[in-house]
Parts: sequence; C-alpha cells; structure tokens
Amino acid sequence: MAGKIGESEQSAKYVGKAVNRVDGHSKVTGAATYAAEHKIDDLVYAALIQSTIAKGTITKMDTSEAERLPGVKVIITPFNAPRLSSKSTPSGRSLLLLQDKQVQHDRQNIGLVIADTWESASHAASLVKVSYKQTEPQVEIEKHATYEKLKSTTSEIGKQISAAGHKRGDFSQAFASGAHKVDQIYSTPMESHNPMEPFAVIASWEGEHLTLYDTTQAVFATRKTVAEHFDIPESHVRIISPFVGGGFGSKLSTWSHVILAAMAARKVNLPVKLVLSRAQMYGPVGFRPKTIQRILLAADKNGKLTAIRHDNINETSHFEDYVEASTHTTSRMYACPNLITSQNQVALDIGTPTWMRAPGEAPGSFALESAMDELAYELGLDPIELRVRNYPEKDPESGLPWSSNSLRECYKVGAEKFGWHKRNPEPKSMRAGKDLLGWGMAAATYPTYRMAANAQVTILPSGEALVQAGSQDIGTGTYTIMSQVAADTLGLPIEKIKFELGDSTLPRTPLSGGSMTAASVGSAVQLACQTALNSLIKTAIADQVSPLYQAKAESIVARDEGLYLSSDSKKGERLTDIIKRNKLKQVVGKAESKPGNEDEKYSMHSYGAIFAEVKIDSDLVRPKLTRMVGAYGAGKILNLKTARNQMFGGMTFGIGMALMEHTLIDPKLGRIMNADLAEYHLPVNLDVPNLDVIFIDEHDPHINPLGAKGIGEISITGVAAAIANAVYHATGKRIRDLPITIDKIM
Amino acid sequence: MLLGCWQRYHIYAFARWLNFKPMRDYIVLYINGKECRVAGADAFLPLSSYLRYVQSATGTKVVCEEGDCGACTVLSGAVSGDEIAYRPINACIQNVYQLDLRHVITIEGLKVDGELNCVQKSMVQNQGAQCGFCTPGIVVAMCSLFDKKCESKTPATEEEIRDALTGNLCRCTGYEPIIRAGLETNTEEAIALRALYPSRQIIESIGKHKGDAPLVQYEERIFFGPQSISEAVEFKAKHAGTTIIQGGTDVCVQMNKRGFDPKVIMSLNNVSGLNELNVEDGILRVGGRATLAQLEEKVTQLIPEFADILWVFGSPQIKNAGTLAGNIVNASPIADTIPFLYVMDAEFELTGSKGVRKVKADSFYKGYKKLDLQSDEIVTQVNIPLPKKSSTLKLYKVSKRKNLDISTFTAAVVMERENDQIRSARIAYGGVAEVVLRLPKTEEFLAGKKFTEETFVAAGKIARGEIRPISDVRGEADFRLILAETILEKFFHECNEEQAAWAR
Ligand SMILES: Cc1cc2nc3c(=O)[nH]c(=O)nc-3n(C[C@H](O)[C@H](O)[C@H](O)COP(=O)(O)OP(=O)(O)OC[C@H]3O[C@@H](n4cnc5c(N)ncnc54)[C@H](O)[C@@H]3O)c2cc1C
Ligand code: FES
Ligand code: FES
Repeated sequence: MAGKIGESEQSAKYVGKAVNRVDGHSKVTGAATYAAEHKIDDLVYAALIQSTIAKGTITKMDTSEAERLPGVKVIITPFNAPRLSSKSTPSGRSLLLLQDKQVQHDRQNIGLVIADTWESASHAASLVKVSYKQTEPQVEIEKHATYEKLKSTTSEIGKQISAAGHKRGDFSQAFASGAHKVDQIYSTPMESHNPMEPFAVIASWEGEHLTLYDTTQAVFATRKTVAEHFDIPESHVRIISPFVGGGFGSKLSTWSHVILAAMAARKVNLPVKLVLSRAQMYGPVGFRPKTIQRILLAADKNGKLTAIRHDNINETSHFEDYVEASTHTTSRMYACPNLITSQNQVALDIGTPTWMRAPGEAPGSFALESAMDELAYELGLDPIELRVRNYPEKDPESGLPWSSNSLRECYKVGAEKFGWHKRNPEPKSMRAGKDLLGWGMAAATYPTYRMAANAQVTILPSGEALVQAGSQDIGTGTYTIMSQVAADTLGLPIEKIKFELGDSTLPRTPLSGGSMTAASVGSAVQLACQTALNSLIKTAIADQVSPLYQAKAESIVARDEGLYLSSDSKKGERLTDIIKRNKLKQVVGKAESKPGNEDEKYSMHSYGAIFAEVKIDSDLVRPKLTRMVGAYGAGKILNLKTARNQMFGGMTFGIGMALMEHTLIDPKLGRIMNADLAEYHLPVNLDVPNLDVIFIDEHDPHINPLGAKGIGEISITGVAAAIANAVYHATGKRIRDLPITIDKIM
Repeated sequence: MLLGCWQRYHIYAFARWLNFKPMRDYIVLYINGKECRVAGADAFLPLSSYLRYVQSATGTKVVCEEGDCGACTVLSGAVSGDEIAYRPINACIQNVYQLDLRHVITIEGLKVDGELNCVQKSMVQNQGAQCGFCTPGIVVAMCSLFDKKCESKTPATEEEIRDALTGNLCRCTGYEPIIRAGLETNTEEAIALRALYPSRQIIESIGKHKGDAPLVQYEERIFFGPQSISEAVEFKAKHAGTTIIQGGTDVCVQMNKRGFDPKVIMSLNNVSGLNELNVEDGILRVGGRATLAQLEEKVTQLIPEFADILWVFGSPQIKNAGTLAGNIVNASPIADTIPFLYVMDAEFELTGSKGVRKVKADSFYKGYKKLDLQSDEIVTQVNIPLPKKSSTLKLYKVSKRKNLDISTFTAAVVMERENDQIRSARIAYGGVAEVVLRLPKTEEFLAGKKFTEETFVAAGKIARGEIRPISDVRGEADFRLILAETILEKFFHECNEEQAAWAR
C-alpha cells in the first residue's frame, strides 16, 4: 500500500514535523483575503441597526431622515422586511430576522440600511429613530427559582437533561457517609469570543443562485441554513471562505446577519457587503453563557472519591435552548462509584449563547478542578496524589477501555518540568521577594471527535497535486496540515501540493469545531491520495514500458515524486513519466473517510495536566501569572509548530478566562456594558508569561488512521482552575467566581 | 448640527483673508512612496477606511476602531530635518487630514524588492501567524522596532519586543511564537525604513506643499491645518466651535464610537516649534503638540517615576500619536498624567487672541470636563517643575489589566521629609470624583507628623473621607475607597523599603 503515514515513520517527511505554515507568506504580507476583502463589482454596503433595549416591542422606526441621506438605497425594518416563508423550520440557530417587532435581547438586529458607501450606510443607520414599548428584562440567573434550588438542596434540581446528565450508584448515601467533603458553588461569567476578524459577509445573487463570501467555521452548514431560509436548493448556494480570522466557536453557526445580508442583496438586486462592528458582536452572534455550578465531593480517609455531584445552570435566551455541558466530563474524569450530574438552563432576556472554545469543558473544569484542590486541602493530600489515587483505569461511565490515556504521565512529566516537588502546600508560605508566590495545578480532558469527510486529489502532468476539501482554516493550520499529509502520502515535496479549502463546491467535510478537522479531513485527504496513487499504480503495473510492469501493487510505495518497489529503492519511476507516457490528462482520487465503530469499543479522549505560578503584589494584590507548564497526551502530533501554537493560544484563552474576561450586563437594563475591546479585556502579551508545552509521545492505533487527537480545545481546559488554585496557594483566598480580579482578592 | 450659512461664509472670508498665503483644498500624503492628494469626503475618512475602501489596500485590518488592538498599525513618517522618522500608529483613529505631509507605510509597502523582510521571514519561520488577522499590524509594529536596530545590528531583547507589541492584540497565538519571531529576527538583514523609499525625493516634494496650509471642505465639514500658533488662534477665535485634533486618540474614538461629528476641525500637526521639550531652570517645558512618546523619552532619566507611568500609558501606537496637551484638555478624571501634574504644581500656558495666560494644573479643572479655557485658547506649553532631590515622588495607576488599560484609580504623592518628620505632602487622586482631586485635609494632617506606618494608616482614613467615587465598569465605588485608603500605606512601605535598601 502506498505511503501510509504512521506505518513507516521514515517515509513521513512532513507529518509530525515542525513544518512552516504554507499560508504564512500571504499572512505576513497582508495578502490573505478575508470575507470582507473580496473584490466584487457594483458592491453596495449594508449597516445594521440594533436594539438599544433588551426587551419590548418596536412601536415605530422613523427612517425619514436617514432616507434623505445621499446614497441611501433602502432601509429594511420589521415594518417592511420581506417575509421569509420557508416551508420547514430551517436548520441551525433560531434566528430573529425582522419578521416581527419583538425585541428579545440587547443589540438585537432590528434593521439594516443599504447605501452606496459604508460611510453613508452607517451614518444613516445612526439616524434611524426607534420607538419602543419597553418591558423590564430579566437577565440574572440568581433571580430564578432554579438557582434557589441549586443553593438549597442536595437532591435533584430542576429538570435533568438526560442527554447531558449522568447518574450512577447512590450519591446521596455515599455523600452522607463520606469522611471528607467539599460542597461549594462556582461560577463563570458570560464571555465573548472576540475573534480578531469581525463577522463579515458579501452576498451576491444571480437569479436564484446565491454566492456568499462569509467568515465561517462551517461552509456546508451555512449553505444548508441559508438555502432553507430562502427555500432554494442547496446546490443554488455557494459559500466561499478561504481565510477566517479566528472563530473559537462563534463562527460555527449561521447568525441572523448572514440571512439579512442575503435578504438585502435580493431586495436591491446588487451584491451587498455587511461588516459588523466590534460592538455589534456582543449579543446576536453568540457568547459563552454564564454558568453557576454546585459541586459536592466526598472521599474516604485515603482520598478515594466516594461521591461526586455536579449540577450546572447556564443562561440561555427565551427563543432557543442552549446547554453549556459543564458537567459532561465530570462523569469520566475520576473513578468514583456514586455520581450524579445535571444540566439546567435558565431562559433570560439575552441573545442565544453558543459554543466557545471547549464549551462545557472550560467552565466545567474550573469548577471540578477547583473542588478537587479544595478536597486535597481538606484531606491534607498533594493535589496530584489525590488525582492519581482516583485515576480511572477504564471509562467509569461507559465501562469501555481507553483508546489511550496518558494522564498519569502528564502529571509526572508536567510536575517535573514545573518543579512541583519544591512546593510547600501551606497557603501564603511561599514568597518571591516581596510578592506572595502561589503554585496550582489542574487536570484537563477533551473528547476525540471525528466525522465523515471527503477530499479530492488531482495529480497533474506537471507532477504537482491539487488537493481539495470544502473545510475551513480558522487559524488552526488546516492548509498546512493537509498539505503535509498529502505530500507524505503522495511522496511529493510540500511545495508541489496546492491545497484548496473554504468553498462549498469542494468535497464535503465537517465543520471546524470540536477539534476534529485534522483527524477527519486529514484521514480523507490521506485516503484520496491513496486512491489517486492506486490508479497510477494500476496504470504502471499494466504498462509494459514501466519498470513496475507486473509488480505487485502492495509492494509499491510512493516517494521522491515517484513510485518505487519497497524492496528495491531503485526500481521504479517518476509520477510524471507514468502520466506522460500514458497520455493522462490528470489522475484523480476521490475519497470519503468516516469513523467506524471504534467509539463502541473505546473511550477516546485527550488528557493533560496544567501547572501555574502566580505572584501577588502584597499591597495591591494584583495577581500576575508568571509561569505555566502544560503536559498533554493528545495522540500523534501532526505538526509540532502548529500544535504548540494551538496550545499556547488555548492556554492564553484560559488566562483571559481566569483573570479578566467578563461580559458585563446591566442587571436593570439588560444592556451589555463593555461591548468593546477597551473594557472587555483580552490578555495582552505582557499578561502571558513564557508558556511551556510538552506533548507525551502517544501512539493510539484506535482513533483514526492518522492517530491524531484534537488539540484546539483541551488547551484552554483546566487553565482557569490551575490559576485559581495557585491564587489560593498564594493568598489563602479561594476565588470561586471568575474572573479573579484584585477586588475579589482584597 | 448643520453649520450655518453665515458661519460657512466666515470660513471663506477667513480663507480669503489668508489668501496672501497660498492655500490648498486638499491633503497631501504619501502612501508607500506614492503621493496622494486627497480632497472632499475622503479627506475626512479614518486612514484605515481610506486604505481599505479607497486604495483597496486591505492588508491593514480593522478590528476595534478605537486603538485597542493594533491590527490597523501603519507607520507614519514625519519629516525631521533631512530625514523621515517613522513611528507606528493606529490607522483606525487617525483621520486622513491628520496625516497631511506625512509618509505612511503600510504592510503592503514593507516588502524589500518583492521579498519578505527579516521580520516577515522570522514570522513565517516561527509561525507567528495563526488566523493571520492580527499579523499585518504585528509585522508593522515589529518592523518599527527593527528599524531602530538596523544600525547597531544588535538583536532585540524580549523586553523590547514585548514593549513594542503592547498595543497589538492576538487572540490565537498566545504571543509566544510572535515573541520568538522577534527574538529570532536576523538583525543583520534589517533594512532601515528610510532606505525603503527615496527619502530625499519625498522630503523635497513634501517641502513644496509645506508653504500652503490645507483648508479642506466637504459638505458642512471643514478642516484647517495652520502652520503657526497665530494662525491657529486666529482661526479658533473666528470659529468658537472648532475642535482641535492632535493625536486624535480621544477625539477619534469619540467620533468612531459615540457619533461625535465635529464640523470645524483644526490640527496642530504642522505648527512649527510646538513639539519641543526642554529643561530650563529646573523646569521641564513641554510644547503643546509634543507627543507622549517624546515625553516618555525625555523623562526616562529626568523623572523615572513619571516615565514608569508613561510606560503603562496606552501603547506605543497611542503614545506616538497622543499628546500631553490632549491628555490635559480631554480632562478625563482618570487621565494618567494629571495627578502628577497636580502634585508637581505644573502650569499650563494658554495662548489666545489676547496673548498668553498661565494657569496652575489644579485650578484648570472646574467640573466634569469643565475647564478654565477660553474658546479661542490653545494649550501651547506645559511647564513642569522637576522634583527636588529632597522630595519623594510616587505615582500609582490601578487598572483591571496592567498594560493597555484605562485606569480605575490613579494617585500621585510627593513628600518632603526631614529624618522621620514629614515636612509636607502633596497628594492627588484620580478616578474618585468628576475631576482629579487634591486632598487638602490629608495633606494638612500629614504635615509635621512622624513618618510612621500609623501616620499613613490614619492618613488613609482621612483620604477616604475626602473623595466621592462612583461605581462603573472599571470598578465599584467601594473598591476605589479601599484603594484610596491603602495606597498611602503602600507609599509608606515603598519609602521604607527604599530607605532600608539605601541603608544596606
Ligand atoms: C487605546 C487607548 C489607550 C489609552 N490609554 C490611556 C492611558 O493609559 N492613560 C490615559 O490617560 N489616557 C489614555 N488614552 C486616552 C488618550 O490617548 C490620551 O488622553 C491622550 O493624551 C490624548 O491626546 P491626543 O493628542 O490624542 O488628544 P486628541 O484626541 O487629539 O484631543 C483630546 C482633546 O484635547 C483637545 N486638545 C488637544 N490638544 C489641545 C491643545 N493644544 N489646546 C487645546 N485643546 C487641545 C482636543 O480638542 C480634544 O478635546 C488612551 C486612548 C486610547 C485610544
Ligand atoms: S482597529 Fe483596533 S487599533 Fe485600530
Ligand atoms: S493570529 Fe489570529 S489574532 Fe493573531
């Protein structure tokens, strides 16, 4: 079989190596074209009008002054918006599309102005006078009965969402008889994804055919949702998205502005460009919901967990359910016979939340891993020791064996690198000069997902290969990793691979979420390359002139731009020779790769251990993160450079989550108070110390042909807890409510 | 508000009055070596929009439109002597008219003979780009750092790289690969920015336009770029509603975010002699258009405490554009320079049609954004007495994020002491009322007291009683009250430690 990666490590010139990004050049020169930057003729511009209240009814929208502005073409409001009459409920999110006059959240899209220039559109939008009949919004989980239940009882609360909740053994009894216990409430705030690239779309109709230049993590899902909203066949919609300036989950969904832009383009019969301002992104394009989590742990005197309870409430909107599955991994993290978890939503007058980097795992691990630290102190045990004592030999929930699990090694290697053995566990006991010093750690996990994916490879007479898959590169390195896989499989230098993605007319692939692109699309690319090679091998074997004439297909490998006998490295010939001699225009390989039933046989996850050091100024108690080490078992690392970068990026997301990120909402008005980067703080470089990432060498033959687990999301998981635990160690103050700010420590 | 016809007439009359001097009705700027004459609506666009929409140069990204992320960083080159000095600025909060007679280099203009430059190469090599949206801004900011290195050919230190990139957010990389790209940039290959373009030619042709001041009009908007203080004062006297824009780091944010739409605008950018800084008779004299970056450079040796505060002021991009005068006149209660100016007893020189008037810093502010500044007056100089050898000066800034953040609370304390006897203290707090406050009761209490912890604990309690903070997104009132109280203890501890260190 030709060049199968992983089988013969020598043949892998690129996979597993620190290869430079193939799109690096276009990015450092500013040449990479993002959604808003495609050059389209006759373009007109749209600007959104958003609600300035959180709840009520629009009674009037006075557009007269705006309409008088030169260049204004049309203003679409709920009073004149075209009716969208889809036959069925469209897939994707529940969108508010100017079909009624209700306002259901702050910054709801309630209209748009289309004009000749961006300036006139946005100026006109600011001149539209909106009158409302306002009602008092409800934006606090704490005012809801579910919260009272969470606080006041240890029996089941709220509705238990069966899909998300877990139950085994007898929690109540085990907890009652536990020797050491923790019972605490943790909370994480509403957070905004804030990808650097704003949401942007260009919509262009040609008859009943619609082309959208969009910034999306899911070209195929977008195509489906858009087609359904306009009642046209999917084949009439094309989504183009070659570069995405970050998404972190926010661009997995097709939000209302995409449909509105297409609606506007149809109305004016011209291509329309719509770019959201930073402020317009706080509400209608998702966010991580606030969570309030109660955790109860009990352990025997040896530190063996006997009971775990984890209840989560998250906020959602009144028009769509959203579960932030914070308790999801709790059931698998530790060996414990008695467990109960529940997921509960509280509907509020806010936009609908959405997946944000490690949805569920990120807030959930903050609660669970903080609670584990509290239990370690309760027991007088080292936090690593406590975790090791409760390591599950197999998946405690499903009973399946792990496909691979390096968690204990992560603890060991991470602790060594960090110097954990020098830690005095006593809070406030360690100092660095004047500053208090704190060391904390936490564990992390993230499931390994894989979905069906397709790819196509075209080997050209020039000896170059065009590799195509619909897919997306949201900065995670899809272009590069797929080029590596193709180059190795085809035995070509990476410069001869041209990889195309971000287009719904290309072979179908899954969305870029759940850290599964590398595994899913990579497997398809590998298979497509093999298919193309197999057809060339067939040609060569049948070709009397070829040195490979009548050779056995299994004995042929692809390398050095040719096909050669694996037993005799000299016997064979270049791909171009076979193609030329046989007068082939090109050689095409198409493939679909899908997961088998491995998930019925194995429980498949990445694991990691994170260590954090904080220093705290003794007068002003400002926590400063000074060091962080993460050790991860994440399967085969396809590209060391992109992988390390992903980890650094995710850890930095975790730093933001721990120390600063917080979308503030006015409890009375229901308006977001910090809808900008001046007051919604992301870490700047000086907030991020030098980070250290170690990958455990992990060979997992069960998960997928590449042996790769995802890395984009495990990187944020556990970080906030490690930092909170370090802050406790430094100050003796346990902060259970993120973010950890000076005023909370004081 | 529409500009009345009569007012418009006045502007034309003014233009005619000035007609003995030639006038231009367009802005002249150079972009990547090419001259652009910009008139009409385009002259009033933010530079980032002008680049992206008019010039179709989309390498410059727009992310926040308020100077907070650096994705729109470009280099602004001003002629200084027979050279052009380039500094990174945020293109989203610079309107085209502010760049009259400047040479702007964008990401598209950085390539050396169509090849990647040393920074770009290292960024590729070290995977400094993930999604790539912050990347052009980072490359431009970093090229400015290596511009300074091209003579010494010394590599950049991590500290220098981190400082240079304070104003550049990246949501993907965690910065590590970017910092590494900086560390591994081959300085041997660094090419001076001024060598990328024929400086002499550009300077010459800028010189040709220097003599005529721009007066650009579009619909009801007017921009004027005077060359002398007298022209500026004259204009301002004629047009009471004139908005001065200097760095624009306050005004342009208000335009982009709060719909502020000034009709008559004047920039002091081409007024000669106004950007000088010098020390005379123990007084630091700062010109009315001196930037915060110039100031920071100047005080690094002179007043290190103030330099430390300027270090955490915004970002390099903000400091390259923003001015001290702008910080003073913008009059925010959390402006970082004001508490310092209060306790140093600084004095502002205000030039109006009746001449120059001097006002003390702490009597300049009359209420929230109410100033002792007449409609025709311009801040032309700030005089700051240098701290005496015998006095101790300490400045504090508390913000949610340490760098690139607006303050929650600020404080300045200067104390004269003889052994363990406090002779006098001057204290100013910001972020605790609608203007920066002096704390007379606390100052009075401290005078003559023993220099002990108890004294400062007691002083803290008095200080707490002298302020009336409010709660906002940056902090609760209670938090500010606690800070107001504890900051004086911190001051005591710091003095004590220094003394101990001295004794050792
Ligand atoms: C991202 C960002 C970060 C920032 N960080 C900080 C910070 O850390 N600390 C801080 O204090 N501020 C900060 N600022 C605010 C701002 O940068 C400062 O206030 C700066 O000093 C303003 O100077 P400027 O020249 O840009 O003012 P401009 O915006 O040009 O003008 C400000 C005001 O002053 C008036 N004015 C300017 N010069 C004169 C003059 N000579 N005579 C009369 N009136 C005049 C203008 O008419 C206007 O009303 C920040 C701003 C941004 C966008
Ligand atoms: S776009 Fe963020 S600083 Fe200009
Ligand atoms: S690379 Fe995506 S924001 Fe920096």
